Amino acid sequence: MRSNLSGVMPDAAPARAPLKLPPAPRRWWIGAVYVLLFAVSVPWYLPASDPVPVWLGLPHWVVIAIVGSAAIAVFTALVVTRFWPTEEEIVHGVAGPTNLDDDGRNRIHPNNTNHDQSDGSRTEERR
Amino acid sequence: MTLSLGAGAVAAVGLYLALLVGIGYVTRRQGSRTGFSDFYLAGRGLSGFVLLLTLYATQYSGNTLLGYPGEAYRLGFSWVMSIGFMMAVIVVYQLFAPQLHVLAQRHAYVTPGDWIAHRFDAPRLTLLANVLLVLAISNYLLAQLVAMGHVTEGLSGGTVPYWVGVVLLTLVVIIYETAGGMRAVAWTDCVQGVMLAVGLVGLLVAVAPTPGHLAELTSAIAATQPEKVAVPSWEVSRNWFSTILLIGCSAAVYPHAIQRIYAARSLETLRRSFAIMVFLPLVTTGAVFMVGMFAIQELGTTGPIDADQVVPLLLNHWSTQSLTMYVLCIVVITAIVAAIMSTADSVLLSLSSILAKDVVGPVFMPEASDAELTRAGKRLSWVVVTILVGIALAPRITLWGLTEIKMELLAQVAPLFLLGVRWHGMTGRGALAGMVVGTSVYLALLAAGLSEVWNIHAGIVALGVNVAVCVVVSQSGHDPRLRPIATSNHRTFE
Repeated sequence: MRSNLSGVMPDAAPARAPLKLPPAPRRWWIGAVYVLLFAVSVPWYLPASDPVPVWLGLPHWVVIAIVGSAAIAVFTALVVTRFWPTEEEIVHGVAGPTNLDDDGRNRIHPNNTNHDQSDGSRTEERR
Repeated sequence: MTLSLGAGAVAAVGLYLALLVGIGYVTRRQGSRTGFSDFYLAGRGLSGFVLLLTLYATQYSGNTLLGYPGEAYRLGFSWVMSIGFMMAVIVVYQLFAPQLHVLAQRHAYVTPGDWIAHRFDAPRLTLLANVLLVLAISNYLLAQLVAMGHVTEGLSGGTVPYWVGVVLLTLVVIIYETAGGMRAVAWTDCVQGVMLAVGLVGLLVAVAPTPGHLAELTSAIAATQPEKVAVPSWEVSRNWFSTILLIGCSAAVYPHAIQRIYAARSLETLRRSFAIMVFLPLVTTGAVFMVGMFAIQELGTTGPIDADQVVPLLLNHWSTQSLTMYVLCIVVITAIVAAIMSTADSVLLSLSSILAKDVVGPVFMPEASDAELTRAGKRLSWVVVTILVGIALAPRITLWGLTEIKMELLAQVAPLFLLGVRWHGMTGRGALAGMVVGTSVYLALLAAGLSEVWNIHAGIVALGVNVAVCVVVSQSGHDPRLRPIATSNHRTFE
């Protein structure tokens, strides 16, 4: 593919060291909390009402949306200050989880034996 | 445009413009002046304070202060969604920003294309992504130029024509941008960020929203336009979720925002900036939202109003009430100019770096040194603004309309960052197939006049298709370019 495009496309990876992707984080609960907070902040679940209840001078669903957004901000600040990966984790995966299951198999490419072998040995080292 | 705040406002903006040029001159003397990453990323040394303010000033644009109140005026209270979708941008950063920052520092990325090329090793994918990024942010820059014209014309009560505003403010931006690069842009962003904050506090003071005042406002709107107060229907809620997804995914991958992630001095710097920045939508878009609500009450009897004219009309109305309000309106006008220019300079800098390094450089200057590429980028800045100023002089679409088109294109590039950093199994072939199909779907829907499907933005529908195709293709075949390093659990690319 590259030969057909030489001269009209940038070189894809000019003289860079091989890329080691950071380990995939496992904190799925953070995503679940975000989904919950966004779902609450959009008042899709409120029935139509006439007149609309007024809280603090605003329609009640507007107050819910603002409070929901404030909760998202507070939770994000918590995530950023408590659960952000360190540089060590990103570079070396020291404290970070991997894309391997408990048997050392690659969850993404379970049939990829090369990955299974290398990743499995890494898992063994950790154990 | 009827806003007329007199010589005081013109003098305030004039002083402000002179300050910007001065900063450009001072920053020109710093750094190596010829290094590409030094010019475009300020030597990767942005401190927490500068990073926060430059991210803030860049993210909140002329569209935020001019377009958003117009949308609030048009839609009513449901525009409170703007707080949530601006917050979603910071939430989406959590998916990839820390990892991307560390990789950028280790592998010396300067442009978004550097990451894409390194991660996927797929030239066609890199080229297509760069084309989409350039199209999207050119559109964004065009929106800022249009806003420059509107503000200047409004500021002078029509004495200074629209075209003079576009040309004059663009000239100031290009002068300090080509003089000092990212350093000039970041430091002017600091000034602009402060101006923006001061202006918004001024707005809040001007609006003085006590609960009693708000209740009066709500009942006044409910009496004349009850649909703007009613609980949003399921259709509106769907569109609300869609907008959160669209803005969250798209604005997080603005090329100029990606480059600020690269340019942060350290991971800790980036972390501190995000921890504060996530609260800013509550103050910024929250204040702007309230301005739009007050506009419904204040301007409700003046007949149909173009959405982009709402803020100028409102400020004109308020400025005649008292001396204090007049001064506050001048501050707000200066803040609006600041917001427009801070976004324009960042987008222009990013655009020129992408064009120089990823498009023009490899094709026409393959052996170019850093200094030559940097000079080429500066010249490209002038070429780009010349073309866009020409287009801006005949605008045919509202600011929000320009923003939506840009966002939906950016959304098709988002998986390269959001998934690319975290999903080790994502292949270049899958990413390319997803982006081609997703972009095609978006363009087809646009051509068919379907800007929304079931109240979901066409760009989000296309993004769903994009990701689905990417997953299927990535899972269906092993990419021969991906080889593991035997001693590591990380996927590598050799």
